Amino acid sequence: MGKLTVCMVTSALVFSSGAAVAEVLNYTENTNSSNQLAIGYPVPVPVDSLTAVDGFRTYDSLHSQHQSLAVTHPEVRSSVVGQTHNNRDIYVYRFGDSNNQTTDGLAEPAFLINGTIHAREWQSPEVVTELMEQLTEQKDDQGVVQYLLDNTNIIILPVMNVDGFLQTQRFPTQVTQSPGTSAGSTPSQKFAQPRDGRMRRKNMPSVDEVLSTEGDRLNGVDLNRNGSVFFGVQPDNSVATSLIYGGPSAQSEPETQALLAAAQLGPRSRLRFYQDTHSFSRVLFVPQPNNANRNTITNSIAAKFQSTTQVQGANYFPVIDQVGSGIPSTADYFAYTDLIPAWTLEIEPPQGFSGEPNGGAFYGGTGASHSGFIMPDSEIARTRNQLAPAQILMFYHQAGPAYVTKVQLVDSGGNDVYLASWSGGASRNLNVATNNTLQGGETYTLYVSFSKPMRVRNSSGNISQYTGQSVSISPTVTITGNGGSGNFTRAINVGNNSWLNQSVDGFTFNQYHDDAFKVEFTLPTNIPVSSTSGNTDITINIAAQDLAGLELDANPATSVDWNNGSWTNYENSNGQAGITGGTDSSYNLKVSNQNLTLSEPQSSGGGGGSLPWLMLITLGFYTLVRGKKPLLLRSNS
Amino acid sequence: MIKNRWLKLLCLAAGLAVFSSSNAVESGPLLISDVPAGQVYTDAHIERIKNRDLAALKSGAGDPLVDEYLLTRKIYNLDADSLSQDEVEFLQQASKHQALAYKQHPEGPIAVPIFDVSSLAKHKLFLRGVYLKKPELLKVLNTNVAQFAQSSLLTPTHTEAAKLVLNQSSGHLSPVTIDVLVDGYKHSKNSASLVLLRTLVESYKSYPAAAALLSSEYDSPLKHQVMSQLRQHFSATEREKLLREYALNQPKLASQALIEYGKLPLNVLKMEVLYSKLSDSKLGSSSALALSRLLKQSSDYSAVVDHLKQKASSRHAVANGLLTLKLVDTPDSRALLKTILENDSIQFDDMKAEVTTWVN
Repeated sequence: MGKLTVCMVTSALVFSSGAAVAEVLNYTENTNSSNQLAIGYPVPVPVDSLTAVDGFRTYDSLHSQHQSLAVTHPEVRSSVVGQTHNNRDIYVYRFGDSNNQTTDGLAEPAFLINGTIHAREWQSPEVVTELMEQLTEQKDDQGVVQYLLDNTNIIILPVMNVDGFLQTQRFPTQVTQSPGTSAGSTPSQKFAQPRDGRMRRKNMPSVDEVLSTEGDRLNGVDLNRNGSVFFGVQPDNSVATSLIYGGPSAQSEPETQALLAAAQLGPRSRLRFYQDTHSFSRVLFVPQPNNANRNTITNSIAAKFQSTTQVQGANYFPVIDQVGSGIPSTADYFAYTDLIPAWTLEIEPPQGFSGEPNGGAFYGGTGASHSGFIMPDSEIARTRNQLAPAQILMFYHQAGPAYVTKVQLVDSGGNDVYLASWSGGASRNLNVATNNTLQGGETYTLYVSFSKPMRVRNSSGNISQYTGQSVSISPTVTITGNGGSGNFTRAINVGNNSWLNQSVDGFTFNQYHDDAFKVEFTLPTNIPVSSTSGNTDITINIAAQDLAGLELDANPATSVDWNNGSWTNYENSNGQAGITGGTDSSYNLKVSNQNLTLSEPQSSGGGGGSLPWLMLITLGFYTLVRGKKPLLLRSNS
Repeated sequence: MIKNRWLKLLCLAAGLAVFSSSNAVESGPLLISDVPAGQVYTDAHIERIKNRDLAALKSGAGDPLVDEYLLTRKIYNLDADSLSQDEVEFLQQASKHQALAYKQHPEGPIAVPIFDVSSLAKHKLFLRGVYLKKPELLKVLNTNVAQFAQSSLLTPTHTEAAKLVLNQSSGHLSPVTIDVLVDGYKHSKNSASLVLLRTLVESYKSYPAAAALLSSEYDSPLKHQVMSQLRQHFSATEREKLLREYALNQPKLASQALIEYGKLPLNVLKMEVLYSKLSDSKLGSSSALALSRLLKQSSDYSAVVDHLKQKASSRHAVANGLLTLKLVDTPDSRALLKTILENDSIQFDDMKAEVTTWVN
């Protein structure tokens, strides 16, 4: 009521003072006139519906839906992180359990998704809301989403520029004429830079909600130029009437402060990913601070984001900034300040792609100026669905690499021969409960579990790639050692179907579907030993890529974290910390020499998969002659 | 003469465009760094060009920005209803045009075409087809209504022309004709039929058309748009019947139908329809929003309080009852939430925590 009064008083003042009134223009489907511009398809008008529709929802509906998710699901919590210029609450939603700890007791990583910083970009709140809806709809999937809710803190601010968004929805088909034009100007001139109504971009300080008010329609701050990194770098950032006005000072705006408060809920020190959700262009704008590891990781996951969308028929192309150059956007701010992967997602329609129409013309429209901000109602459902899995994959990746949690070897009688599991928080110990001697020629079941779901399944229940990804589905397991006759490596063949999403022969997944595999194998006898008495030490080596292609943390003893733009304690096969991971060779067992193959000691080791080719041929021939098992182990799975 | 000049310009533009696109990143968008400097413009430059007199601009032909602006203006000013053959040929040529003038995207280093000559020309040609088809369809409508219903769905051009015919005939079609049309579109296997059902709703206030559109097997934004606009076309009683049907029986439209139902006049709406869904896991929150808007006016929360008491052990029922009060968002409703919290009337800890953040 108060706002209405303010509007009425403001309007009255405008009229009574004889101030100029801005001309109101209309977007239409097919009609052009002096104050109408055809975009070539029906102009969307938001509807009241909490559930997603073929079209765009009103802010009231979106907000009610967000609140409903928060009160209905224990995994969702709402917070008010500030107020807009017009005193409207800005809400943020946290997705995850309430303990802020991973299942192994570490502080959870956090991700921040921001939506609707620019009022006219209606694709943004829909895409962000879809993400919120999918996180709750799939919370009991016993897979990726449940893992994320258990182990991470996902912070989503769906509508940052509430005042501006409401203004665009108040006038869904209307705008005011471009600055500097008059009633006598051509439609092309009038519609060139529409700034209020449906095409408002900025927030609303000292702006009434009456569209035709001439005096305030250019006011407002571009909230994506109000950041403290690169503040004022663009000439127009300091022009108050500019579309990209950065505000009186860096982070001056209450909406910006709300975003900073949202980041604190991570808490800030735990942030590992930031996305600012815009439209249009169908690209990712990816800032590049001067931090090589951070940029390598960021660009790698941007490519995975792209491939997730490409396989669904869209190509969200990562546009990589030059190192050290940027604008005062929120993505640049988090990229440079927090040294985390951060980008600006520009939702479709595309722009500037060879062979693809730009903006509204992508949907068969006229290609009218700014029509890319007006996505047809019929396209948003598809867009929402294409982007949710890409964002979820980013969370999964930035949750950190997997590590082996348990290794178990069981003999054919069902007895544990080896049982080891990692325990502890930041520093873990390998607790070896059983370590009996193995026998060559005996059949064993190897069971390995990991700290996160490693695979997904298709609708037929078969193991498949995560949308658009291409990782090694099967883990690689080898046995290595040296029995006094040189190094040897023997591979255990693990098939795609070794992953477990249910109990099989008494073995099942650990915490999440397909976070473990089991495989039967026969321990070879063609392991070369220098004596048939005593035992030989062997090592089980495990390598696997997670859903996003991250290799294992090769040394689970030190838990992986994120600091200064990079993974920490993320060891490769050689034990060196870096950003690639590798093969975990922590599992030392012993095998009796009794059934193994007596061989002359080798002078130069060899083995490890690098035997000279002549030696391999000779050994193969020897094996055939002796009627022994081949080098590669037979998998019984 | 004019034709030749424009055709030459378009040929030149096409040639330049080939050069330009050869520098583009193959699978990504065109980067601003890949566009020759002479084809990149600032907003200030663009504004200056647009604000200059057309005659003065013609002397600047050869500059990509000026050329494309002039092309755009020329196409925009053509009347699709009365195009000469020369103009048609010009539009056909223009529809192959590739952008030459670019500016930088405000958020990143990609090149944004300033004008879309090609799409504008294509749309103008589409409209020409519509205008050409219109008299033909009008004739069919006057002679064979069922045939009109079929012909109007043949192509997008036919559908758009049929829309114009129906709009133009507004008030002149008999109820029998409208019934035949509705019947034809209702049983059509073409989703374009929804476009014409909508036209019958908007131009003829046809209740059967609205019912046929809303119950169509096709998903379409038109359903939601028509549902939002029922008030403009139908009586409160008619709306109550339609909305109740879709709120209770049509899951994809139910959320919107419930909220629209809550906007009916109080003497028509039946509160029990809204309360009947308040415990529903999918639609309860939609009922909550609809009820909250009504309670903003009446401030009588007794039914919600009863609901919370009677269904205290149901998570969805409690969540949606609390949500109703939250969305009312008045001092009274906030005070009631506080009381509910103080009286420890909520069995679920997570909801208690959420309501605590609301009242604080």
